Amino acid sequence: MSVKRTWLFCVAALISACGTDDNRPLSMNALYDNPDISGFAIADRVLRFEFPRDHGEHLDFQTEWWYLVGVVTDEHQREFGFQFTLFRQALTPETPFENEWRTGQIYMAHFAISDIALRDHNAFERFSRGHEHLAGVSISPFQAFLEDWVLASADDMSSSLELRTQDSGYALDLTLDVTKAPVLHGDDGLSWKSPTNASYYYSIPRLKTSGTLTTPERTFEVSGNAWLDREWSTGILNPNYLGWNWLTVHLDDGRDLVLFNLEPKSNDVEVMPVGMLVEQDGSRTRLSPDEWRMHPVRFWRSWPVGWELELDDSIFTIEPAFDDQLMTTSVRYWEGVVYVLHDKQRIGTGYLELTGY
Amino acid sequence: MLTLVKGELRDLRRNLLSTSLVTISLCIGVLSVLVTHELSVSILNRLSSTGIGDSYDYVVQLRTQSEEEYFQVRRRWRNGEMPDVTHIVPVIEGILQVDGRALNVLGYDPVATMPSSNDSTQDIYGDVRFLFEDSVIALGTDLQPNDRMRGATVARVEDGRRQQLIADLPTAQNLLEREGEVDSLWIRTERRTSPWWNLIVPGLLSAVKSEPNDVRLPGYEVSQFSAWNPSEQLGDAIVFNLGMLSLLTLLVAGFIVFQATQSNLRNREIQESLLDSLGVSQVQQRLLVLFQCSLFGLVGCVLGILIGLAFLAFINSTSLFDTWGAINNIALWKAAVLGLTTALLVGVFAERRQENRRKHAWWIGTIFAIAGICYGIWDGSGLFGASLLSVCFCLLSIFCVVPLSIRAGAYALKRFRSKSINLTMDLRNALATADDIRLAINALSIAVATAIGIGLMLVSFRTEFTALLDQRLVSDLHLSDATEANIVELESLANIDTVRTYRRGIAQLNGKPIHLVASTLDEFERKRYRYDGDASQGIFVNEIAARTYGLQIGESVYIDISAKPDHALPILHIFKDYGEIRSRAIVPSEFVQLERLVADRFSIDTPQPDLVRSIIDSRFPNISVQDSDEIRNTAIQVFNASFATAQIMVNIAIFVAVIGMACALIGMQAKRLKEMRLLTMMGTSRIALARSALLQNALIGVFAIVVALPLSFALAWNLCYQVNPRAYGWSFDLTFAWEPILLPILLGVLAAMLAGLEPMRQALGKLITQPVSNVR
Repeated sequence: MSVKRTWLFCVAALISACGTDDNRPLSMNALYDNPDISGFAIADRVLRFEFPRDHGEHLDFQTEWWYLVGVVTDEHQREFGFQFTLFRQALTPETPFENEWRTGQIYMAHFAISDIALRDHNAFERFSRGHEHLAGVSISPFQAFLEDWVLASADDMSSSLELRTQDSGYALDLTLDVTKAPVLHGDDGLSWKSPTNASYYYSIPRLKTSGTLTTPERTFEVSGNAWLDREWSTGILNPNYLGWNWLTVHLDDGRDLVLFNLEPKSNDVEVMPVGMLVEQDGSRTRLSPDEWRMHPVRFWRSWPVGWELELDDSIFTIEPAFDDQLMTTSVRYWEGVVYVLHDKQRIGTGYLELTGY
Repeated sequence: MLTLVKGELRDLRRNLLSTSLVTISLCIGVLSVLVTHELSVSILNRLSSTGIGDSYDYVVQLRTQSEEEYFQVRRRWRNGEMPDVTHIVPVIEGILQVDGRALNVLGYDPVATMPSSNDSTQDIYGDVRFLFEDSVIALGTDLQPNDRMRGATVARVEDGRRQQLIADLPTAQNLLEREGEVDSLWIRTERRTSPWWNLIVPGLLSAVKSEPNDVRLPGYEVSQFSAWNPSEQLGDAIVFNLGMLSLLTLLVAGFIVFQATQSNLRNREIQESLLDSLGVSQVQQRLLVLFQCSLFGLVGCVLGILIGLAFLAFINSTSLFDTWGAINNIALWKAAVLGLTTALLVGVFAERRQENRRKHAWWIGTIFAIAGICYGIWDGSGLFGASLLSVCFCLLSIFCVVPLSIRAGAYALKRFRSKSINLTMDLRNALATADDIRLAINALSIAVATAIGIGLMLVSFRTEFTALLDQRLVSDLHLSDATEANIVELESLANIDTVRTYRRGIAQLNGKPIHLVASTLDEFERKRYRYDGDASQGIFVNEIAARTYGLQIGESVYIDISAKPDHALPILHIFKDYGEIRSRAIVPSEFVQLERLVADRFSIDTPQPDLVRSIIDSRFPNISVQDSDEIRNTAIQVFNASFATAQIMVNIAIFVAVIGMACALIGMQAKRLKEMRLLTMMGTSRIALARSALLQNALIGVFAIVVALPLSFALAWNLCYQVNPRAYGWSFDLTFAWEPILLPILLGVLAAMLAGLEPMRQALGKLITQPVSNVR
């Protein structure tokens, strides 16, 4: 499960801070503050996933995202991290509407590039209402877009994807070949975040990535690996938690690792850390909470960017490629490239997401 | 040094009256700046609000007014055109008749305003239903939540200066029956609307008209947002003019500190030589002068800010503590820095001037003033240029008119022969005193000239305004918020001779927004708009439209009221439209698609106006009915109220100037004491002395007024022909009248005499009969 839902936490916090006096105009964040979940479907039982259907939207659920992160290098081994996320937030369970402007869906997209050599992180965001000319998701062929930021597949996402984004001199034009089949998190895709809140969650853990990455400096031919997360739910946010720590790693031996845990507000709140290891052949192994443990060892500002991971009686160090990979978007969170070290040797590369700090 | 400082403080205490007057004048100056800034920000916030969030920079009118065109422009932007643009918001606007009332409908895509770079900008109204249900937000209307109109529901009501319905784009399209249409695109750029200097001097942005568009979109004309939202421009103009008036008070206060410091320096010559002999350096003595000025500034600032806060708390009905918490930091800093800087700067100049008195100042000042006048007269210099023109007229008066008048007076007095030695002496004394207190004279002259100038402008404006009202308000009754069905029913119930229907709508003139009125442009209407020719084949535009869009009589323009362009029509007449801030056009009914317009205003001629009123009151309570006199009276009341603030500011300036005169005359006390002692020795009675002193003060006042007259006419000319057309787009001729001239003159002379009373009383009180040989 990815923790991009981070933004939902932040949004909730912002909204609770500003209040919703009925006689005052609301801020844009109020669009996401729809405590009324009546009429929406709830993730509370195991469903049978079907593809390509489940690559598309689930409009009966309130919240959904298509989330892609990856690390690529050019021919001189210069490394870059990238992120593209399309969030969908339903305002109403009603759908569809006769007028194409009428919409119950708001989309938010984030696009970021980390230039590791220059220690430079640039993030961009866009919002749009659901509209065929503005934003939306289709299944066959698959396309998730917000204006000219597009994640698309010529087929039904079974073999490859194309990602095209650009803003302010930064651009991505990447082909992402699916090398491992989708893996379901939790109980056949039903991922419990807390004793009462869950989501439907699957990932394509390794996509072989190639194409061009452009910065104001120049365009680079790049290749590497990416990770795609898909998740949808209604009301997964639990007010007993501060935020999330989410880590996904492409290990150099071909295995992939995802770990996350929620930060509780107090010690009496139950924590449900979740981990999963995906083997080279795509088979998955769930890691029980007592098999691994993560704790922060270094902070940048208030963000715990350096971690120590205990797994299989070994200790690994998680270090950011550079510290300042803060997403300076409407909703702030830290999301950036990290290295996994074992005995000071790099054994994997991944992405870390931190929220609520 | 501490001893010297203590001595300085003792000196200030000894001259308590002078110290108090200088401090009070600075205090009033600081207070004016603080209060004016706060009021200005408040006015701007009210007037510049678009209803859907502020800080838009540009507007692009769409050619085909279609959604597809909007998406095309958006794609071009995303492909890299207009790189500075951060938001493009599609907007549709029109007028909807609800129960007879014509309400402005503004539809937009709220999500296109996201993310806002400014958290305080609240772009999205209502709850999320706004986006997927036909709901509207009603601003400034008496509509209630859940009221319905054409299938849309009022989701919430808000206070608002203008009556407006805010809706999501498709809802507005539905309400206006314009499916698939988008009128214009509102554009935000990275460069925020208010640069720092506009925050410090609110309204300055609009005063500087020459700002070029930094957004280019080939194939389209990108207009400044103020063309769409003229009330923002009006707000800027109002607060800029108010700001300039508040600075007038501070300027006058500055003169006073200058004069007081100079008088103080002159009176301390003995003290200075004593300090010299005691080994106190020149630097230390200068520091003492600066200390004195900074003390004036500090105390004046603290008092000014405190009184300003109390005043704001009073007018806002809030506690002092809340006012302190809510007050704009910029206003506080601006008032404090201007107050302190004025005090310190004039201290420095007064001290230097003592060494190098009036050397070359007059011609440098004159050349600077003439250069400024040349720039200000140039129309392209905008409101800033017009304001500079006023400042330069004042400078010309200070550096040229006043010194030349004093020289001319001295020359004339040399040749003046009178049997009365007292009169000759009084005249010479008055002129000498005027020369000595030249700065106080300047301050009083400028304040009086401003009062006369504004007074003449107001009389001129009022004269033309009332003439305009007489011409426009011809019919017996004027109905608004009515429907054509109401009128038909009314005609069946009462004897009505004529009904004139005025249809309104929002249209485009050559692709730019214009408020349209369609009516029968027959002889009756032509007279109302002061046009003599045939109006059947052309249109009238108001002065604001002509000025904003650079239109001229004879030019052909396209009026588009919807996606379908109508005929090209020549502009036949540019009419005066006082009080109106929007661009307006009057078009013959046959040239526009009437179904796109709303008929909600009617004029009625009837032999039974009382009967018609009673029928309307009983059967059509929603219709608002007024006769011509009622409208005229209301308009005049609004007119007077609009200029009340300006008059208050000028009166404050005169008050401060009077304080300055008193201060200056107190400074002259030592000199006059010698004269009076001499006259006492010669047997002149105290009464005669008092009479002489009063006469001299009156003569000084007259002198100040005489030199103020040319300045006052120059200021009146500037206000009528430069400031008003550039600020508001209204032009009118300067009309001469005695009342606005005589009153300030009397006030000025009286003020000068009053200002001299206390110094005279003090001087007479110190008189002790001494031998002539003792008089020094």
